[in-house]
Amino acid sequence: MGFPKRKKSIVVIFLVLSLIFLEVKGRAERTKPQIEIGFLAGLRTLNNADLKSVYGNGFIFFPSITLIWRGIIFGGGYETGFKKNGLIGIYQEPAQLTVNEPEIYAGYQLTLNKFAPYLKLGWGFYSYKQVVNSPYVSNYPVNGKKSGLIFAAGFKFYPIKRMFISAEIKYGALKVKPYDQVVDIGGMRLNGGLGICF
Amino acid sequence: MLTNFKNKMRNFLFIIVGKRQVTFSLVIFLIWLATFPAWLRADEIKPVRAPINKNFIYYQTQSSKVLHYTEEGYPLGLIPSIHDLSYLRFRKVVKAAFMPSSYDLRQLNKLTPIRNQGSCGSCWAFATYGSLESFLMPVQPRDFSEEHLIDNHGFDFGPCDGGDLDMATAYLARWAGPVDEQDDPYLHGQIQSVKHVQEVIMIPPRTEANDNDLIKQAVMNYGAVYATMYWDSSCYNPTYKSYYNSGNPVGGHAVAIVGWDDNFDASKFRTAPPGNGAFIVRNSWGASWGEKGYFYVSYYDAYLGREEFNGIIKAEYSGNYLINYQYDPLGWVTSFGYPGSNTPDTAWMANIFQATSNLPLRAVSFYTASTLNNYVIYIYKDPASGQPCSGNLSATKSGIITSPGYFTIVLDNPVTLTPGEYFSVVLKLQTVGYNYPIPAEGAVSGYSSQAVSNPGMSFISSDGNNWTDLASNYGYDVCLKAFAGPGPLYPPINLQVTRIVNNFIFFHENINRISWASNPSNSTRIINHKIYRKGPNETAYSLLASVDASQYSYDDRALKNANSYSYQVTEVDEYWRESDPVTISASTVINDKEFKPKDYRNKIGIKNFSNAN
Repeated sequence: MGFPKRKKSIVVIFLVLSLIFLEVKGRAERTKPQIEIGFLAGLRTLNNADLKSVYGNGFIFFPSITLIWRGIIFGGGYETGFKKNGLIGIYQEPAQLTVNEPEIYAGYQLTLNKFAPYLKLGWGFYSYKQVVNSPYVSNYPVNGKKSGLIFAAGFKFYPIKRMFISAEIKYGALKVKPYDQVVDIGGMRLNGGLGICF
Repeated sequence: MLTNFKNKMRNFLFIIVGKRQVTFSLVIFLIWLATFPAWLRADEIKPVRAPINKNFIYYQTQSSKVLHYTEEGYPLGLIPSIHDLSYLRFRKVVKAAFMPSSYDLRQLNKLTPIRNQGSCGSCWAFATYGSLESFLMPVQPRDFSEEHLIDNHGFDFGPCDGGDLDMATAYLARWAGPVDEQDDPYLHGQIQSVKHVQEVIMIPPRTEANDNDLIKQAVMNYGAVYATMYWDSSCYNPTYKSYYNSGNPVGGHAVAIVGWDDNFDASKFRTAPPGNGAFIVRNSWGASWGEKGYFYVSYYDAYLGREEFNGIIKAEYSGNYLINYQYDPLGWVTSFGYPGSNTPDTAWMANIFQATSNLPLRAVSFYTASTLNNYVIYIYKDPASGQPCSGNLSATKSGIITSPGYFTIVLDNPVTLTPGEYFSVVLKLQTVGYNYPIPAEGAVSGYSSQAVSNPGMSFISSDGNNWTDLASNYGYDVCLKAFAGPGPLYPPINLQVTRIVNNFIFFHENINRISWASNPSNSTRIINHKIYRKGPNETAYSLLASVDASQYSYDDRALKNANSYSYQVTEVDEYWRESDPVTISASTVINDKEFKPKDYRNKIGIKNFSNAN
């Protein structure tokens, strides 16, 4: 069943040539810099299993602004909205974890007619805070900042000239150590959203 | 022959006065014969008061001339005992089988810090608590309030006018004290005693320089011994902190003997005594005086421990008894006896009390004056008025006490009481060699004038049959107390500590879980448990928490160094008695438990956590 091997090779070569053709054509059309404002929302996971068992995954928002010129991407955004409540510790005391993150990134976007897959590499400036509603641990505030590398990949779809629909998968690596425990508060994001172009 | 004589006499009487008259006269004669000996005894054997100590009489007449301050300005403050102890001077000297050549409580953590009596004549109070605090050391370091003692002793002397062991014993035996120093540093007031003194051992005066073994034995067995001396500054050698008074009775002073050195060189005294050896003595003139508050008194000193009783004051848990039935708040003021009876060193005494509670009667206390005392205690319920040995005999107990002093005898079985019910405590006491066995309390001018007698309640007798109302006839009450209480309160059992790590993900919280079980031997209702903690840099335990009776564990949370803490747990019962503590150190714990969130976020984990111990 399926394609014979030779046919598969022919299909791949065809697709690559098509992409090159579309990219050359698109680049010729995008000689001017383009600004995009996007608004993505989605799910954020937590790498640390203990954290995940207390707070679970969270919902995030990611407004961003991106400059695209000849396929090169520069931009920045602010990931927010991760504010989760949970019951922590052996006494199951109320706790809240908040993680916010402004980030800057650069990347490359391949414009294929109305589709534009892209790759981004960025740097996130995280702030994290855990508040435990217990008088016994008031001497252990968790409220810190740390930065970390971000990888993202996604695609945009331009149904009309000045608007796009986007889907993105992003991974941010971040390990913090406010006291004696190293905790990985990085994680995956699965975002989707809309944007406009200027 | 005799029968014939009787018949002849009867016939003669019948002839003279008639048969009916003879029978009547015979009955009258027999009645007279039966009652006459009682009259005879009453006339012949009247109770007699014991002689008063001549030194006390002299002190009362000369008190304004007695030395109250040393030449250096240090206060003294001993008032001679009212009791004449001359009968003890000729007792046989008791020698112990083995006694170390030196002994020093300072090296054994058996002493509390040196105190300072300031400018007050309160040496007797400091010597008393020097002994009592030493008795409790090192397990229970306490600082009792001398101020409360001197302010509330109840005798005719002002707070700083002096006192003696009798006054201290009376104050302690009626449960007016001891109170903690922190509760009454300077103020008067009704404060509950934190311990109950149920026993004061009165060691007879030394009869000679080498009659030291009773005191030495007491130091080794119990701690510091209350003792008296006469202070003469010219007898003190400040170079060696040594003192030897060969016979100048200037100013009476009370101190505490805390050890001895048989080899203390005689040449170290200002005037050399006949031989080596000295007691180590604790003074109350501050730590800057003498050898950090202590000094050495020669065995050959003419007065140290040789004039009056030397004392060991013992204290016990204040919850052992809750009610003190007594008519002698001022204690042993004098003694009565029947020197003219066939057994002059034996007498009977009794107090009739009305129960104020349904707490059962558990013990009886009294004073003994001899080195050998035989006693028999009887408890009667519902005695007839003026007849303490009537009613229902509910308990008896007999025994021997081999020391003078104040002693509490625990009954073999508690006697149930009903509020309002009368009961009598009867004591037959033999004070071998001393003919005034009955200790009594009453008003003595210039000494105990505040004493109040209780007519119809306090009785004495030479034979246990014919009783004299001591209060009505002499204005005194018998020193015979009775104690009621709910029974012992035992500390919790199975005390454990489990170290638990609480995972807050970004940090771990260290917890010591203290768990225990209620003591099944307790018969009263437990209302809560108290947990005390001592940290790594703390010298005493402080209250950490008080939890309900149904709670048998407590988590001490957020600890930085969990294994450096020690814990004590007590039980508090319906009478607000707190048991002695049971102690555990977290450093001895080996069972640690760390719980991950995934452990306690499911039912199995929660169950395991609950059963962490």
